[in-house]
Amino acid sequence: MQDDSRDIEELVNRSVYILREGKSRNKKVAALWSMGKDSTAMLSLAREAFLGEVPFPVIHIDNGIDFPETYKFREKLKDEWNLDLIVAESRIQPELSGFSCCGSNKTDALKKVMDEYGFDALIVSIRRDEHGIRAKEKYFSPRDRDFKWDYKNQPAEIWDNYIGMESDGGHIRIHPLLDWNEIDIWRYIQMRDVPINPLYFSVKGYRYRSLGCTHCTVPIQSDVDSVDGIIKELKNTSVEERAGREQDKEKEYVMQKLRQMGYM
Amino acid sequence: MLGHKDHGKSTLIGRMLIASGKVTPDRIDEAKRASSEAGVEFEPAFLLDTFSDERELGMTFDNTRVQISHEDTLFELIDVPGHEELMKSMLSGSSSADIGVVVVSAKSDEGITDQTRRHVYVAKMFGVSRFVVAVNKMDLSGFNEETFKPLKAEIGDFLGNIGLRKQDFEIIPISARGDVNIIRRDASVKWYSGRSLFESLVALAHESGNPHSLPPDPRLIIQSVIPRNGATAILGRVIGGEIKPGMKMTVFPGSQDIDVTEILKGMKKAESAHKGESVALVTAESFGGDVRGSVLSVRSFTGKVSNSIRAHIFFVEPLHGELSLLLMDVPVRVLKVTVDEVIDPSSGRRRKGGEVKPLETAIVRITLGKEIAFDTFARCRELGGIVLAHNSRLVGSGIVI
Ligand SMILES: Nc1nc2c(ncn2[C@@H]2O[C@H](COP(=O)(O)OP(=O)(O)O)[C@@H](O)[C@H]2O)c(=O)[nH]1
Repeated sequence: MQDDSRDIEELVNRSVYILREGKSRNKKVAALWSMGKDSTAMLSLAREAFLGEVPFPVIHIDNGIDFPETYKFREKLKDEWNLDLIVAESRIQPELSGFSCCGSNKTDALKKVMDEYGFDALIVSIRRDEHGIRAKEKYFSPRDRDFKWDYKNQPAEIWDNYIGMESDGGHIRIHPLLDWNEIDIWRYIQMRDVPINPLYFSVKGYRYRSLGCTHCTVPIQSDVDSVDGIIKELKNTSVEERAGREQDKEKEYVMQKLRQMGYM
Repeated sequence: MLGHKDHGKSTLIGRMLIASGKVTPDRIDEAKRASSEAGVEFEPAFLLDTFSDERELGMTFDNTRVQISHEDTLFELIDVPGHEELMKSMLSGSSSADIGVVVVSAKSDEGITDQTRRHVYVAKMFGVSRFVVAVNKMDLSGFNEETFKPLKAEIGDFLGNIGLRKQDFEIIPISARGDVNIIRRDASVKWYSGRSLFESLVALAHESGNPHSLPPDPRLIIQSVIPRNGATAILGRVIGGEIKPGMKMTVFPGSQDIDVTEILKGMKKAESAHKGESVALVTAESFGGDVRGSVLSVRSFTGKVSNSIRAHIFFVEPLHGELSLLLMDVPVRVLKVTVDEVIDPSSGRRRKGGEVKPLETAIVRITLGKEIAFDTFARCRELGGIVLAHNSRLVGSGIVI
């Protein structure tokens, strides 16, 4: 059961503020784009923040096994929104699954791309309501050289002042969507008519609620084939969003390990 | 969510999560399983401290934020660590909270501590204007009114002394572990006729909250400036008043005048912009120097432009070395800090001048290397909340007075 009464414009104002701060404070910013609803909504917010242009490159970590619909959607939006797309190829290791798969493959590919381009900040579209472990995330969060997150010693955030942001050869994560809930994202998509990956809509009684790659995402049973329908569905479900991801079936501390290892 | 360690704050939050239906039965089972694997008895507190080492050590390291909703009111709980060495997280948490929930244990050797008073004092100073005090562990005395009364009196006096009015706080006897008086008032506690914790939170949330008077003049904090079709777009957030196209505005410090030709919200033109909105203002003028952190207002700006600031600061480190002052995250070099008066937030004791120690507050005069635009915290939070840092380490933070 999700609350659909939050003021979306207030969330937009906050996210636009964070995106602009993130851009001003860092030298070379990039964003992660998975073609899922959250990172696509984030790009739409970036367009709102910067007069219609996304002023930083967007990185797709491509393990080659995303859904065909996802690749097609990527190309379509790349043209429509004039995106500076960087595809970081990661190789899939068939013997690994879940934690080790997403962890080692994607992180390695991301590290390589960050080094190659010299990015010192990365916009990541995580939300605090996604997982218990994310309850401690901040809008701006340093990661060290090995992408590790020292959650016990985070910078203070006092009235939009951020103290202790040294990342020591690492980079800064920027989290403009931290305050948003799953349903808020859909309400924003509805209000702004944001283009969306068709995998979220039902085909033959199934749809995806959360998108990973073809190996670790399973669809949910649903006949919903519109954004309005998704919002209605979320108002009435008590199932958690990431229930459809195999990765989450493992223990909660696994997520902690993922985060500390630098997986987003 | 404030309180001394072990007074039951995490248990209460766990309870609130369960009560609001926020935690699914799956998660409760998972926490129970994890507890038994770790060889400890399940506590509602485990639903919050999600990191395994926090669970094992039984302490919170950084602010944890979770949402709960109750009767159509959405709350975000910010759990701040109870440890002294983690005061910086406490400051982060307080600076973004509206209501303070203070957990005080009624257990005979616990009660109101220095830490409780310090937390409440600092939270109030940082803008938390209403408090619910949960007197916890009342089950230990069988909910004896005689246990509650002296604590209530002591807490009430303290809150009164730091400037809260009677209508700004409530004191409620509860048992977090036993789930008493949290959602609904428990009829078995006959002598208590007040509200439950949730009832009180809902009531305080709907009270037309913000006692801070809004500055009447239009104000925008400049984040950056980018070119737009041969003109300039000023990107920033409105923090007061109303801005309209055609308005003559002035950048402080520096006093450069500009004409606003157009307001953009997202990609759309707008007829006006108000407090809280992130907008772009288009102007034909361009700027010579760096205007990030400057305030765009009108000639009759009612804030201040000066290199000297009087402030009330809470210190987490002694005053030492080169300092910078941060306001809206823009650093300015500090030339001198003069301590007028030191106030210990755990006792309220005051002394004139001298050294200020960590965990104390002080009224200070700060002299900066250049002029900046600011205002008192009471009038305008965004221009009155400041930080002192040494090599990007937090030294202290507080409010312009
Ligand atoms: N008797 C009693 N014990 C409680 C109650 N609430 C919490 N406790 C116990 O007090 C201890 C500290 O609680 P915890 O929630 O971890 O405290 P925190 O450090 O303030 O977060 C634990 O052993 C709890 O079981 C209560 O209402 N009654």
